Amino acid sequence: MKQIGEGLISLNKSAEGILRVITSIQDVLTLLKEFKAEEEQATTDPKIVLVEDAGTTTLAPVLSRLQGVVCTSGALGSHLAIVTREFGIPALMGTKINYEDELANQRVRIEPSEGNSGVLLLLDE
Amino acid sequence: MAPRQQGPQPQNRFQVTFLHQLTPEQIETCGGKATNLARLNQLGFTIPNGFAIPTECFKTFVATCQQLEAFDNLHQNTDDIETLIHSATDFQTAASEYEIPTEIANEIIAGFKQLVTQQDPGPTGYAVRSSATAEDTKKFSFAGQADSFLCVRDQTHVLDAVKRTWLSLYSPRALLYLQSKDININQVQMGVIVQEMILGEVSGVMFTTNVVTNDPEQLIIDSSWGLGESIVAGKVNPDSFIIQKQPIEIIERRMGDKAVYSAPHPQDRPECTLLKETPPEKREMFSLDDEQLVKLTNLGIEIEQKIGYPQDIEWTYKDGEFIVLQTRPITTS
Repeated sequence: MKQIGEGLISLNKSAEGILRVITSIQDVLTLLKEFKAEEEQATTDPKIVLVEDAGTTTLAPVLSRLQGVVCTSGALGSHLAIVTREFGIPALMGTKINYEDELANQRVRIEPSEGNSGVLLLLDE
Repeated sequence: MAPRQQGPQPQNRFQVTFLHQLTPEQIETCGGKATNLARLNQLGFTIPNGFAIPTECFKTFVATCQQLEAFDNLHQNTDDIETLIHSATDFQTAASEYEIPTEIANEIIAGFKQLVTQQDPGPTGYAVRSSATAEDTKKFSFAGQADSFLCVRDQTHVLDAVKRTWLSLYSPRALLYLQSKDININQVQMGVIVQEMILGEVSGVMFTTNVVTNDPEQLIIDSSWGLGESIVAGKVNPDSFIIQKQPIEIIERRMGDKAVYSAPHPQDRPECTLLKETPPEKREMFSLDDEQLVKLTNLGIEIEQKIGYPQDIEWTYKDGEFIVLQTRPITTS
């Protein structure tokens, strides 16, 4: 397990899951379909999404099914932080990620640290 | 800035009401943002002068669009989000071609003309902002779901911005939010506010409790240069502060890179703001100093005390004063 990012956490809660990168509304709908398929098969594969734009409140349909959100911009007053809080999941905002490799589909954890800060951890395979 | 007295009630259902004349009973007719601002004004806080366009105008406008029925039918009969998004987008496109009915446009123009006589627009124009009936309540922030337009400069653009604010209720993002909250779109009515545009030097958001740790003894401030939209829309990494309320003490300060800031667009266009690069020296300094932080904290504490519960406040700072642009209850799950 190693720390690969640091940001502001919107809720004092940790979250763990496979990281999925979301760049469009289409990605959100694809993810929603996956969740629905999992529900039908009664399987769960907890997920965290990575987004670049803290205005990305199009995440709404999947928020109730996500463990957490990592956003590379914004802060606690951004719409994304406010909306995720309504769904009771932590968002790591304004996250500075220091990791060279592709993060998609890796297992990560969001964890609160001091004050209102939080860290992004890459979990071992 | 808005005067403080309350005044006469509207004569007809399309008539606009200036914010200082709005009563709490008008929440269903003018929406959450307008009502919350009116309340602040009545409590003695400084808000930008402006008027609220009642939801009745929105209702009547969308009802004139023939395509609404088709969208409504589909909306009642499908759970398929993709189909719904396509249909809503089609409706938005079709409805944007419709003119605002004269009776309604005349009321908006009358309000606008009155605002212009009270408030010289200068080069910065006016702000046209959504005020939905589901917006800014304790359960639903509706944060960032509907559109707002800043630095709108003349009557034609104001009317166009009002129409686009109404139709933003049918944007994929608003639709998805409402669906995720199990709210039927027909339960939501769009009010709109037209206000003087405050060209803040610094702007941001303040939560009057520490929403992260749930600590009511602390408050949180995000601040950055220029207009506040860059923060709420998450286009910038702002400075962040945690402040103890009693006695006031700055517990944590975290410098954001503030790489860009939002400013008025030099040309007269419907979207009249743009993001500019922040000069390096301003990136490396905090956008609020200690004295300003204390002043803002005191404002937050006073608003929370007078309204009676924790608030999520959008503010701007201009000419040595903090001005409240919006306040709403802090929403939780």
